[in-house]
Amino acid sequence: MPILEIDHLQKAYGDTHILHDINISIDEGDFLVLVGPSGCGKSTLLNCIAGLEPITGGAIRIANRDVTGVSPKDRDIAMVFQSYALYPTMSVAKNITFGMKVRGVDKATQERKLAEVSRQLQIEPLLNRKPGQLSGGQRQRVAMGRALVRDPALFLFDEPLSNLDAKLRVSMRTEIKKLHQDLNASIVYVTHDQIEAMTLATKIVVMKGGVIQQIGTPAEIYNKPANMFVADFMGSPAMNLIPARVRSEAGQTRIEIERANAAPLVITDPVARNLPAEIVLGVRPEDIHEATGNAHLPGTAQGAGGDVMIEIVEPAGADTFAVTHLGGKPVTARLRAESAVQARKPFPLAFDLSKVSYFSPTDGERLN
Amino acid sequence: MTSNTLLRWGLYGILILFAAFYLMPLFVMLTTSLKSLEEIRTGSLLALPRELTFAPWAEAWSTACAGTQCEGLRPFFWNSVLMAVPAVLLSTIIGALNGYVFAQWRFRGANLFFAAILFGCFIPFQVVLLPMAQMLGLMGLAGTIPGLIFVHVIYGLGFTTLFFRNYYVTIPQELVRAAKVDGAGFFRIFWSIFLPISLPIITVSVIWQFTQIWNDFLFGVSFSGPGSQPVTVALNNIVNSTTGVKAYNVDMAAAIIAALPTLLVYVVAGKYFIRGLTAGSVKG
Repeated sequence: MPILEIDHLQKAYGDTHILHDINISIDEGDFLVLVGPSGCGKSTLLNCIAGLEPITGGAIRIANRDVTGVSPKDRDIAMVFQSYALYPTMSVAKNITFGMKVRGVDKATQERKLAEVSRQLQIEPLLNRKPGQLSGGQRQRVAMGRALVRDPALFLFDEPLSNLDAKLRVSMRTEIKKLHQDLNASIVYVTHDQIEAMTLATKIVVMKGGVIQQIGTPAEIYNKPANMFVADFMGSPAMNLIPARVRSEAGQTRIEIERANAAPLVITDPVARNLPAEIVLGVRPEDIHEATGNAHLPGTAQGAGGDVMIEIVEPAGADTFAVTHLGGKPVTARLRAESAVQARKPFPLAFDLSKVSYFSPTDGERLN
Repeated sequence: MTSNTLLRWGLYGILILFAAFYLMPLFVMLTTSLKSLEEIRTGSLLALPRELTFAPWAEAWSTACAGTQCEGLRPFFWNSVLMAVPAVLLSTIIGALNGYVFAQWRFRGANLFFAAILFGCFIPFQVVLLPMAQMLGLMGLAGTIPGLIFVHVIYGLGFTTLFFRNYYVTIPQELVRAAKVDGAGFFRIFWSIFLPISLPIITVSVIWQFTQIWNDFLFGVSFSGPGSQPVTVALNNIVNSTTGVKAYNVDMAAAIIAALPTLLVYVVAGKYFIRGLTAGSVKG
């Protein structure tokens, strides 16, 4: 059963269009992450779902009920804000029960739910404190408590972790994920952090300039990005995007990549068909391997004779990153930590062709 | 002695000089109000009273003549209280609501409205005297205390709105959004979330408005009737009503009595005043 359906949503301020024809549908228990660079409209979209921003066109349904013109309080939603937005003069307990109090829930129920949620979030010792006396992580928990206690059809999170330090962010991320699994809650979550999106989501919407670029599972988004923007935005280090030329010879697709100080690399892709003459080849750093002993890989960079010149080697503990130049662009390969790769020396690399993406250089759309 | 300490002494010297300069009138007023007329005539202006007498204070409070009415300041003092307290409260409450709307519930044309209200702060009193008199007449409030309250509330709204708007504008919008999602409406959010954090700016507004309204003379003298004159008007009348000898001691006592409430408000709430004026500059 879809818990949230967004149907041809449009949002404009005067003549400025913020959101263009947004169509999203998620099921109960889904964790939808809206991700994109700042200014892409993801927070505006969340506010539209919450009813805090009126929409210019289209419809929003929550739990099979058209809520397009319904005020936020009647949408059966709860929201966690980036700044936490705790009521400064109220104690933690009052913050959490404020919504129930406003709605006229009886005292006994308020107490019971407060106890339940504060146990779940481990904030029982904080209940009598004021928000000003709490650390960032504690405020975050209280903000979540305020949402949880409402038991809504849909939770909305607006960059809830962006004000926390790096370490706390990772642990809160895990907690949110656990909470989602324990409660089987339906969540819409906004972030600009692609790692947060990958780790939390069951479904990701990548946005740019108020337009949805791709909707899919984290694996789909990561492995088959719909265009160069998504390819570049999701994943760290980013996907290598290498300009290349295509020649069809004897029914085979041969891809030529410019290489510094040597003849172009030629890769033969046995699967790809009907590629235009100019393409951009996208390959993730972890899909570039050391060629020796990897004969099973369908394509190898040294096939045309000659290795690639390694410019920089960055050991990162678990992996070693090697940077070279191909097609005039820096290309990063994620190699094993114990790799013998050395800077300023040629090194044999192989692309895992089962995982490469081809993009059109003109409109950036995916070709394979 | 180093030049640094010399500088310091010089600084103190100048500060003390200025303090003395500002305190001198108060000193003269106080000592004069505690002297008998005889002593005032014979003694020096700056001398301390040889014989303390509180008779001028009693006279100023209850028997001095303002024009033909010889009941002292007392009835007029209560007129001022009856005028100032409701006017201060009303203008503060309405100003708080206005500021809340301007800061957190933006509407089409809000900037224009706010500019218009701000403009109200700069309109000289004299300009509104005649139209206001006509207005009060039409409303049947001419010469009454409610009429004075009305004038002061209207005139004070520009300032109180500005105070509260500037205070509330520093409060993140997300707070209102969170409360909306929680189910609270316009007044509920104001009452439960905004008013409780407003103590510093309420203090500013109350002190400012009280000082303005209590000390006002022009509106008081223009729009009051025989039974509704505020203390400032009565003070003027007492000082100007001479029966042969000029009773300087009574005049001084009357002036101090008329000024006491504003002094008291400032002493009691002064530190919150400073705090309120600087609130918002440092985000907590």
